Amino acid sequence: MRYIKQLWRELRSAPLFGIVTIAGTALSLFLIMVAMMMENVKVMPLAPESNRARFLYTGRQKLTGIENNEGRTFETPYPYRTICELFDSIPGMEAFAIYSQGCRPQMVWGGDRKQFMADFLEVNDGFWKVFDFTFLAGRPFTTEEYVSEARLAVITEEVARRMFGSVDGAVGHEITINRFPPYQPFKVVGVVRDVPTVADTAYGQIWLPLTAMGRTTDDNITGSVNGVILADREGRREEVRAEYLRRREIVNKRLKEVNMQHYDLGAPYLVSEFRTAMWNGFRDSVDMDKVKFYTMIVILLLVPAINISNMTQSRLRRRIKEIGVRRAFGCTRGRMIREILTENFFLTLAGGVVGMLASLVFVWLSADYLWSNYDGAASGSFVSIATLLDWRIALYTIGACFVLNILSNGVPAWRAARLNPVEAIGGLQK
Amino acid sequence: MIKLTDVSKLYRTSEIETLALEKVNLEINKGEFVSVMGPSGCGKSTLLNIIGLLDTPTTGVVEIDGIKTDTLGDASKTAMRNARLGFVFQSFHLIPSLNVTDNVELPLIYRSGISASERRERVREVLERVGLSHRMRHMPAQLSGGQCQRVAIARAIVGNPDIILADEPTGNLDTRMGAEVMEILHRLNKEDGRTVVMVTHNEEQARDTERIIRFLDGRQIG
Ligand SMILES: Nc1ncnc2c1ncn2[C@@H]1O[C@H](COP(=O)(O)OP(=O)(O)OP(=O)(O)O)[C@@H](O)[C@H]1O
Ligand SMILES: [Mg+2]
Repeated sequence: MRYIKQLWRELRSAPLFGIVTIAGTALSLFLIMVAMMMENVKVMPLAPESNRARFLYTGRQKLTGIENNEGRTFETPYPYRTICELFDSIPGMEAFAIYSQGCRPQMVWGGDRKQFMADFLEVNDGFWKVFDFTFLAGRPFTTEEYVSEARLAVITEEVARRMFGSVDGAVGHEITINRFPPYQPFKVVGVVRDVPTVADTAYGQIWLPLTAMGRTTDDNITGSVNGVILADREGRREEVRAEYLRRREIVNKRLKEVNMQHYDLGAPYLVSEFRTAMWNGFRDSVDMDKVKFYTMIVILLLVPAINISNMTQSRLRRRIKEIGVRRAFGCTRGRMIREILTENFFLTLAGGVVGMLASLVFVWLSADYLWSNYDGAASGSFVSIATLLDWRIALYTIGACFVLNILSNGVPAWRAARLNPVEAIGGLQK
Repeated sequence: MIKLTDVSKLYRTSEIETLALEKVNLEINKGEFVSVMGPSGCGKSTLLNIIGLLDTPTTGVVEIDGIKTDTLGDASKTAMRNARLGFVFQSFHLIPSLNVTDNVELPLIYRSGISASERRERVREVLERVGLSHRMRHMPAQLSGGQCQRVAIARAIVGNPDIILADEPTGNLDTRMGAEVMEILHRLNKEDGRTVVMVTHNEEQARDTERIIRFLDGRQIG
């Protein structure tokens, strides 16, 4: 309290110092928080991917040629049959979602409205158990319906409103998708709440059964589906992987006939590895990514720290007499350092809070551009500010301010504490 | 109470060496009011800084209450300043961004075991003694020079030190305000029995004190 009172008076008499320090801190914290949130949203629980901590992603299959195919490698989605052989009903699994690779917009029509573009995804019955969609009307398609190749669809609220004018009015009606001549219609069985595009595994606007599309019967070595296992608890990866490797042997025996082999990707992947390891093929790259990320954070802290350090230095030079007086009346060197750091912490914190709030607003407004390599038909941002607001963000902010404060004010404080009190008090007279 | 043995102070800069104090031997008793006189540059401030443990002598020993201070570390000296010494400067040296109360309170916040309410109580007491209890919320810039120096005296005595060191306390004040300040210092000496060491250029003020120590070129001449 004492610090804040004095700091306030100090800043009123020399506002530039305060403004520059706060602005510098705010900018630094803004960039750090944006970076953090971008990283965090990739792994944080986010409906309908609330159980990301228990997700094990199959990633894409990697194939390498042997014998006369030597030197050829593929990285492709799995064939339906192979993904089931490798992962379905694996011990430790609670449910298994299979979905078609890529979610592309297609023209859809139905009801009495004009046709429009919507993103659709083909999925299995387990998809509805792995992801926690909120059904506003109707229900998902059942296993029986899935197996019987029923032509059913689950759609989002947005699609329901555009096509049928309301959520409740949509269930039981038919929609047609341009992709599948001869344009047989699909019957809507359920309407779910819109999905944020950052939940990019579950994301879609229309979900159709894979069976109805004939995706489950193709028998090629390359395919068109990927999957996510929902483990019954966290920390199941190594067990699941052991069983996967055993099953892979069996698949590879079959693939030998065509001189191809699955090779190791490190599958299945944790959510933190999913986006990098899957594409790069190495788990090590995840650590590399972390190193890069934290290096960036350190730079984002260091650059403003140097500026703030200079600011503090000149601020303290103006107050050199005060430092001498405090030392004369009993302030030890250690206490001096603490006082300076404490006082400046409030300044840094003020900048930090400004930066944090700015980053929240920024991320919220631009969520869809920031995360997805997505260019589909969704309109608007679906990430609520409540999703981004995480108690850890406040903690990170305070932590970052603390570090930034020590980085930027540690040296000036130390130098101030070393001053000879006589010289400090005389400092303005001589 | 205060004892200096063979105290010398040599200032060395790149161009020039100044012997500010040369083999000063001095004893000041408890409850004495001593004035230090001498021409400008003769080492008066240097002497006070060394007695006040703000500076260390080049050679020689300073004893305060029988404690030899030459072997003490910075933290112990700082604690001693806080507990036993009070400073009054020519140009007041109040902290401009703190109000009167907070300025006076300063020595107490560097002392452990005093509650906030006790501190406020002490501050009120000493401000009453210097006749400024009605200016507690003022900022230093809103006070006259004489008032500033009285606040500075309140700050010097709030921690109840035995020794008050005043370096030309009336040097920046007109005669009337200077007289007020001198009266307060005499009261502190008479009523509380505090030892006062004061540097002054004013013969009249010096005559009112118990003892005059004269300096010339770093040497004590009487
Ligand atoms: N930090 C320093 N570095 C070098 N020389 C110094 C320093 N401080 C004081 N001196 C020199 O030491 C001598 C004594 O200085 P001091 O300030 O003690 O004089 P003084 O008697 O208080 O003078 P005044 O009456 O003008 O205040 C002077 O010659 C001064 O120039
Ligand atoms: Mg002097």
